[in-house]
Amino acid sequence: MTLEMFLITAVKIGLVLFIILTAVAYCTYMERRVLAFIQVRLGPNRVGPFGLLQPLADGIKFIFKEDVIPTDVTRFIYILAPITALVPALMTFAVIPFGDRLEIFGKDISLYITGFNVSLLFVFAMTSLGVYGIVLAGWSSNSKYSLFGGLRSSAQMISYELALSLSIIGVLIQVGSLDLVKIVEAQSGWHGFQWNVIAFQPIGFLIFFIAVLAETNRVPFDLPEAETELVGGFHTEYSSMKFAMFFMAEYSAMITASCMATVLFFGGWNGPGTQLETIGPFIGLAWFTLKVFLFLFTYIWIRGTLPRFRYDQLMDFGWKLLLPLAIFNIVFTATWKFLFHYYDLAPSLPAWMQGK
Amino acid sequence: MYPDLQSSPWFLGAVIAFGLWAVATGSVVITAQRPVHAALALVSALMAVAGLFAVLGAEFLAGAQVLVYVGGVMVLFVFVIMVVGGGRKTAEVEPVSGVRFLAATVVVLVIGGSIVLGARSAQPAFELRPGPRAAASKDAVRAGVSRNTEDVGTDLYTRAALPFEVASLLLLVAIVGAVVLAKGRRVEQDD
Repeated sequence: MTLEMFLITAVKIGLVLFIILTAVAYCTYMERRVLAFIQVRLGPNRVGPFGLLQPLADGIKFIFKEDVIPTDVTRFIYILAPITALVPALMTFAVIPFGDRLEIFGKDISLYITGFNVSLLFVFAMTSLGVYGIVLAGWSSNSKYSLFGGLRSSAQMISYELALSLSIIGVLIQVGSLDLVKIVEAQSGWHGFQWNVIAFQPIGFLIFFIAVLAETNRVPFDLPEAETELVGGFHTEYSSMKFAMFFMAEYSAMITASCMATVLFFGGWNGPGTQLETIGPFIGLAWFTLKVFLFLFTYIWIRGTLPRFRYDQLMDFGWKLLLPLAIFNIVFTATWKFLFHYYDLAPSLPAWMQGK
Repeated sequence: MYPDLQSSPWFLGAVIAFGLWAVATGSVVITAQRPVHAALALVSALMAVAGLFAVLGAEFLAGAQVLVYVGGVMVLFVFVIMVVGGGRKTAEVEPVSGVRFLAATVVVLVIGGSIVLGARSAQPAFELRPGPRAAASKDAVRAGVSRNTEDVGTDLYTRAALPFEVASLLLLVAIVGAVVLAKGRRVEQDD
């Protein structure tokens, strides 16, 4: 690894971390504003123009708040838990392709920190590690309510992880690679509109989006969080910065989920205009950002609209509906792909459907 | 994009580092006084094993190890241990004092000895026949592209199809047994 490669990667890491952490902070702002408008009120608009400095004020508040550690907790695990929640949530951004290859100062730079041939598996592995943060937090808080709140939340997350992983297998069958960069490149046909959600994974996308709502503990699957208003939850005994880390982890997971939805199903940085010469990659980056924002807005929109599931309804839905649907999607996609190649139907497609 | 890792100077260091991590956390698993500590040390040891897989070129196995084993199986282990009060110290039971050091020595000698003797002999005792794509994937690895995902998939559906099905049958039996045990006997109700 030459010094030049090292420096470029270090700059990319710094940039992505900065952008993602700022995005997490402003995602909270966006949520409060959008929810407010849905509920016919205004939301935070005092701190700075249009309330734009609200996340900064919240951050300063968190730093200055008293950090309370209850006496009977298992200290090491208590302090380890928010770290275990936040680090995997941030690590997923190392492999997400934000755009095409750029030519800057004569160097060919790819707009992702690192790409390897199992990057999709890496993302799901990191999200499944995030469950430990919740389990450890719930247990180490030395409170029955925290323990059972944490257990419920993690049971929900691992149940929906199944449907999540199965829902993307349709995409894998179509594309033939676990590499996120290749998955995005495979969606660059049809003048930039060969997105997997249209060709041909609408059910896969639907299952993915629902499962990822449950993975990130968002409405309508936020019973483990609503428990904090009613009884307790895994983060009741946490204060200031550690509590903030849990919520940063949740919003990071939300952003990761939006990025994955765009990369896997909505063409990533593909869109009309990305084939242009020098500004093409920047247009791709703009498309990517637009799509991610659309998904974040949808997340918040759903939060402002739907009531939450009861816990048994939630588990029923995950195991009895989503899982069989995901398996059906796999069978259908695999059969279709097999027949497509066996009967060599590719030449019979219209010209604009073949390749770019 | 992937330099041949096995010829780089980092390879030996990486293998040793991950190996030491696995051995260290593994010994915490067997010597910890609280079951929760043992479970969490096992999680760490499995991550070290995933690291070893990755360094040895089996990146699909590394990802699958973290996703399934660490992120699924061990979460459930840790659940159960936490719920049944694994934070308490287990009582130490040792019929004859010092017998566990004797047991540890015997086990290390037997297993270590067989590994060393097996590695030294001219004819390895266990040799797996290389699969149908072994030659192709060796070339691919030398060319810098790993085909671990494709190879594992192909093997699972060709050479290892029967063990795969048997393993899933075994898991099904375990699930049915767990459900039966959890439901318990149906109590006769007199209304």
